[in-house]
Amino acid sequence: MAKRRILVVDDEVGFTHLLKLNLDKDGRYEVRIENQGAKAVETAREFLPDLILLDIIMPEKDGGEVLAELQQEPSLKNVRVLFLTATVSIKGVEERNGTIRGMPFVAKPVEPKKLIKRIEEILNT
Amino acid sequence: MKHPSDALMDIGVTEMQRELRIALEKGLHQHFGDLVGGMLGDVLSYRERTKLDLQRLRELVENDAAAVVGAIVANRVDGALMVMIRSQMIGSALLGDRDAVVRWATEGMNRSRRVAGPWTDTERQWQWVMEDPNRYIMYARQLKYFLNQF
Repeated sequence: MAKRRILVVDDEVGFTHLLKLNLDKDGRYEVRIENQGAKAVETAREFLPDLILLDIIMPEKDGGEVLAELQQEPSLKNVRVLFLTATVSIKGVEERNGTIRGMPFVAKPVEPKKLIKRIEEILNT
Repeated sequence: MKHPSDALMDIGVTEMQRELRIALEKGLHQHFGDLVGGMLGDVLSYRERTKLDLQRLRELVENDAAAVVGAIVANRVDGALMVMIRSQMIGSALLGDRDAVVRWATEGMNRSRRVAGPWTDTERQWQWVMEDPNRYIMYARQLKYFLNQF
């Protein structure tokens, strides 16, 4: 079975590196990292991910701007997006059933098992 | 655990308290100038919403954080979002959360360059906070301390 492609867009280099290690370890995913929000769409266009893990607050270009640009791209407008946030607490996200403004969210720091469960839920819907 | 600025509050009258007391009597803008006076004036306005109840303050900061995130997801860059970011910075300062103060000040400064209207002129205010977040936290908490007296 082909590996699902996941693009991680987050300006925290250490966090993305650790996240990639955990997702690689699972074996089901092919993971690409992009640490510059401004380059997210360009990288997505080339990588064609099944899912994008997208940080909400980044310098230069935030998650909302990246999402808006993705929706303008015919090849990317249907790609699934799971937002990452350090702004809202884990409890705060859970109290909102993992969604804010209709979009799926995971609070940082993320627990790998919980994140993979969430990824699978999104990829299988 | 006590926040470092609590120690000042325990001592009683400090230089900062004296300065703020004079400033409150004279007017914040007159004493500190428009930039700092405006920043501290916003702390006074924030009081109306929190009633200075710490539990309520924590809940407010948490709920407002979700509102800010929701606005960013919707790709909004407007004055209402700037107000929310400023509120988050004040709430975080009152809670003594330095990291959050820096995060919100950075976000406010970045957005002040892109947003239309009067917020374009606030870049220097956010910078003032980022130059010395502890100073801003101390001022905000001292103001809160004074306001608690009434």
